[in-house]
Amino acid sequence: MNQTRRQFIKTGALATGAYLFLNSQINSEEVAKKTYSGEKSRVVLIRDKNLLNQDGSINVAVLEKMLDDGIKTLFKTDSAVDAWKLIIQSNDIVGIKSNVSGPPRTPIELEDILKFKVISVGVPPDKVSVDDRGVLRNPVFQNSTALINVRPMRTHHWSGVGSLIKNYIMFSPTPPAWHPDACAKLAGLWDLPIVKGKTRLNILVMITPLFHGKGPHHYSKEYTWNYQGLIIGTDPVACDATGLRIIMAKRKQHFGSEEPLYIPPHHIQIAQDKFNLGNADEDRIELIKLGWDENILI
Amino acid sequence: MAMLFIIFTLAFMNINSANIFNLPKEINEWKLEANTPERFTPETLYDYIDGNAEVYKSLGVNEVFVYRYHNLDKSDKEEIIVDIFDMNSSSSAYGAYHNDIRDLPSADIGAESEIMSNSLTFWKDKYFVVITGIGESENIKQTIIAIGKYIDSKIPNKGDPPHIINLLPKEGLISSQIHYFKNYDLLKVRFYLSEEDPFQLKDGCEGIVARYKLPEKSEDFLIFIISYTSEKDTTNALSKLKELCSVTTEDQGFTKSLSKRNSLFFSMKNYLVLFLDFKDRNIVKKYKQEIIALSNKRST
Repeated sequence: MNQTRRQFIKTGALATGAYLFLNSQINSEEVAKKTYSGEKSRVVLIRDKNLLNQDGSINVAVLEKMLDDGIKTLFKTDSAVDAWKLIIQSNDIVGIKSNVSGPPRTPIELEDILKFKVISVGVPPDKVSVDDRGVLRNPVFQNSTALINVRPMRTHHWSGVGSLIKNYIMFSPTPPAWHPDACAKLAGLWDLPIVKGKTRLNILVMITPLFHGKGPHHYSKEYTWNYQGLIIGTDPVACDATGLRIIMAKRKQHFGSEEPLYIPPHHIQIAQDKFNLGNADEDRIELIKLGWDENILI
Repeated sequence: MAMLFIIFTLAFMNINSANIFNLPKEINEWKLEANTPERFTPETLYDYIDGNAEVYKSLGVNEVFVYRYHNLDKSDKEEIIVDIFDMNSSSSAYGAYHNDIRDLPSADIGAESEIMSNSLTFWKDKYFVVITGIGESENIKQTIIAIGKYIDSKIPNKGDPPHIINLLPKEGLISSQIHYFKNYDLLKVRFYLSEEDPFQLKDGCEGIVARYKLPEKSEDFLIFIISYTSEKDTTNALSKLKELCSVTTEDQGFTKSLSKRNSLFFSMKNYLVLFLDFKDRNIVKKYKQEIIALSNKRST
């Protein structure tokens, strides 16, 4: 399956006229917004207990199914393909903003699947790219018409948590300028011309989240756990707020009491309250839970 | 000839610096990946640890040496990363270590240390050392400790923490939350006070911020102490702080502006002291007297 996908990504063999026809009728950015404009933001939390193999590696088939089921539910379509066709048009230039910092980083397996899905709806292979630190030098990102934002959630010693909102910091030529006050104004990144209005899908990776960390790598395996989930939505704030609730619940479970993050992750709430980027309040989020519910924490 | 001598000397120093710790090639079942470490300067550190580089740059890091060990019996995913930060001074090494809350058990290594199941952190002399294990091997923790002890043995001097920590009163001090800084860039990420630097920090300045809790009095406040190179600089900073604490500025909606937070500040010789976020002014006034007494004791 994986071999086939890689081959497919290279050739782009399945671009079809049908997709071209359908996509020309749709403003995909508007479709993406419909899951959160106005009132509640719809967010899908999907987990699968078989996602991780015994050696900790990812079962790619399970991961792909999780993504398919998640996006289908998010957009209320009959199939995952229909959902992708709603948000990506064949003439889009698609940047998949990943995150290679870590561990944990965005799984390469997930990057591959996403690229495959984008090409599957007719986007030529040379018009889709996965990148993190090189986005400002990457022609696909420079000319992008659509972005997919994907990263793992982990605690972070500048911003409380590494979030989907924060993942766009590499689109800024001066990332440290966003650090003051625990990165309070990170949502302002989403107004940068290179990203503004382009994001069609956000995926917060909760496979082995990091709920506590210290030091230059801010990583210790003892502070990760096999949650085996994905949080999928079009509202980055709602996805981040949901992920943060899980992180905080895990900290309470681990430390035995409420344990605030050392750096307040207030950039998520501020993204709602000051930047109107999306919804952070729990009562403004329609959370749909799918799959494995053992120790789901929320 | 003189030029040749200089080139030879520099090359020799470079080699010595790279091999300064000459880590064991094999320890338990773990093998050193390369005898010479990867090296990062302040300019390239971002490539290694991303935005976290800002912490160590702001404290004046000179160079970082990175060694890697791999478990001979396991896959490549198993790794022990040894990061040795040359912080230029023991104060900055202390600062790098205390950038994080240090509330876990000590390993009795270096000047101060903290051990977790898969990592060890310590500082000694001008070095800040972090040893991180990635993997499931049962002997990973023992190997990390062994590497730590080896590095510890190669650093002859213990080094001193910043002198200003001696001005901190003991009662209510959360010792795991004492943070050291040299400029406002680092400070304002975590302890935001205002957009512009309220302490007017410049080269030669150093400061600490410590958290105090007095649960029986429902107090939870911060003490900042900054050391300046001259009384004139101290006086100028005091004026700026007065201005920021008295002029009402528009609330930006996240951390409150200084004028809306309870504050008490004063200077003494080359020191500026700020109490912040207390509830009872009388309590911090007692702390003020104690800090002055500690300063006088230090002067005599």
